[in-house]
Amino acid sequence: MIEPRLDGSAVLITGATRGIGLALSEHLSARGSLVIVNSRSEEDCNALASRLGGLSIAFDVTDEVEIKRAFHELNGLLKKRENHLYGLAHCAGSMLTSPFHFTQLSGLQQMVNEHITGAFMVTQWSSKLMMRQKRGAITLLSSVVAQQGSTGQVAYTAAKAAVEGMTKSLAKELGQFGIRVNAVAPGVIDTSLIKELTVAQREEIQRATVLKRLGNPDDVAAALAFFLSNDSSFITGQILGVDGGLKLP
Amino acid sequence: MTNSERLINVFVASLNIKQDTVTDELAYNTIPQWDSVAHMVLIAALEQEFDVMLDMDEIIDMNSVKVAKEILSKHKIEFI
Repeated sequence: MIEPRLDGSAVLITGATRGIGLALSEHLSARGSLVIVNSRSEEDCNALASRLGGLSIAFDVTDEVEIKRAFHELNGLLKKRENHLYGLAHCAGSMLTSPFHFTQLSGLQQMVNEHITGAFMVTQWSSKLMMRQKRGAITLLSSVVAQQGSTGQVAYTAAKAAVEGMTKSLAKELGQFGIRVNAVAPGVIDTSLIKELTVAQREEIQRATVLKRLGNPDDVAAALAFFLSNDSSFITGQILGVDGGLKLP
Repeated sequence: MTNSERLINVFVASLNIKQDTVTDELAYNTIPQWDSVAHMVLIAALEQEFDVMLDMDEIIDMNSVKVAKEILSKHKIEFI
């Protein structure tokens, strides 16, 4: 198996302590990156960073004040190590499943805060650090439902569709600073986000994929790592489906 | 080198302008060289030179050399 080349640079991973974020943290760490792991729980962050030999930086991606504090702290931590932020993988965020007429505005707002505002703020601060070196790679997480739509997920799909627009605009604006921006659009991945699916629902989804299985977090982590690595050095503004062929007609 | 000299050097290098152009009155978007792209190059260079981390509001507010000095002063960079 040919592994994507990763250069040992520092990569911030939000939502790093579970699911896709955790898989990516382990993937990058095993390949020599300095992982900077984030979640809302300082205890969980510290435990993961300790296990992976990375850095821990706990903050809520929807909280402007916390983010500001965290990036000042991160700047200091990297300076001590004479390192620079090279990569960002924004994996934080939850999924809301609720019929349209049963979705309260607070639910919509939560999706907007986590997937749009959170990505916006974390990318803004991260790219500012990357500009100092005139190089960087940013990956956002979309979803197969952003383009397909999904019954019972209007708020979630709206937020994820916005992530795809954000990815393309960011790619256009940040390219001149040597920063690439791409997104991965996972299909149905076997994480805690789908724990409420029944066995029958899981089997139905498996049948709908060309590869006849659910994805696992490592499948997505490998794609995210590719976008962060130099192997994708001429790729920006792209949305890569990691869905087992779910979208194929 | 004084902080004023360091500041002028950053403006000269980031905006690719002559040293005598960098006066307190020089303002964002009043010369072709100081556009939004160059502004972010300038911000990155100022952060590097003075070892500070500017907030998003400060980046938006920094619309002249004079204001740049005022903002950096808040980060304990003195200009006499």
